[in-house]
Amino acid sequence: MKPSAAPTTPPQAFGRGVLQILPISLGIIPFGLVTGIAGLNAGLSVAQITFMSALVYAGAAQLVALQLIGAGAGVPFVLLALLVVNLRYLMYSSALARPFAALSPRLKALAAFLMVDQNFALMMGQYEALGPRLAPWLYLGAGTVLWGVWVASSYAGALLGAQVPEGWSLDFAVPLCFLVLMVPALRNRPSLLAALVGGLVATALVGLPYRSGLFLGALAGIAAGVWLENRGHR
Amino acid sequence: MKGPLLWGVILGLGLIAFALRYYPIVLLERFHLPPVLQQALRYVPAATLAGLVLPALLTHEGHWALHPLNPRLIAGGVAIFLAWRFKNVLLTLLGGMATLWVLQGLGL
Repeated sequence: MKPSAAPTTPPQAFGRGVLQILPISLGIIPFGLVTGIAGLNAGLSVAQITFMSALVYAGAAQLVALQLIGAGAGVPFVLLALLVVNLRYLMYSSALARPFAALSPRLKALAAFLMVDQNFALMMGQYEALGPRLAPWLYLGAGTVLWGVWVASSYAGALLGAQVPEGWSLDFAVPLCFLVLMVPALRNRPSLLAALVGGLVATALVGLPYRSGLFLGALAGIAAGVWLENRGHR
Repeated sequence: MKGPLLWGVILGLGLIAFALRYYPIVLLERFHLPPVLQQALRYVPAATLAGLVLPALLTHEGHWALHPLNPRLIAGGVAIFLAWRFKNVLLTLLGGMATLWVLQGLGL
């Protein structure tokens, strides 16, 4: 994006969020399809799958919850699994508290509802340039598109169901979506180390229940990044 | 699990998902986090996203799959290179998927 195109009003920032997220939101279509198919496999109706995507709006957590529902796990375990997989949103939300401090209560609730990895990463990458007046609108524009694409693609996945051939390996589009967001976040040595430690610990703990390795890996990675940054200052 | 119970579970999932996203925003605006936590929050995206990416490239059915001919590892490597070199989302997604399809077509 050229500097001349920098937004100066909230509606322009919203529009920029919509435009910048479009290619990324194309990438979550396979993710939504996979989730819709997983919902069918877990015994949900098309209406339930679509409602779940609209309300819960959390790809990785929905996939884990659906696996557990399909396996006949008890209700507390399904809820606990979602809690653990989504614990990262506590961190995202904490990071967003100050940038969102000036929003009205209603917009804060909307911003919280629309929070996902993609608009969080987009906004954190541009917050310094846009500031607290415009950056939340960039985030809301991106979040609105992401939510719409997510619900529509889960619905489509539930309708198409088993007609999507396994040989397409659509499930691989899921990590690729996250990879696209991860690479720009690796801006210096501490963040690179944070990613390496976080990723490798999560991989080593991939057998733990409820994907809790994801959260433990994130904690280890964050600690490693902070350690390297502070070491460089001494 | 079926019928009303399933609807109830979905509602419960939605409530938990919203609470995790909402409460830090409204509770933390009134006081500032200690500097070390603010610093820690800057590493959240890199550490978390890597935890969503690397297991899919480095494991197969719950076990490490580090052999150099693991098609998902190769396709992921291609995607990381494309994302780093060209900073283009669609190119990265298509390049990663196409690499995987070619390798699977070769019987890997």
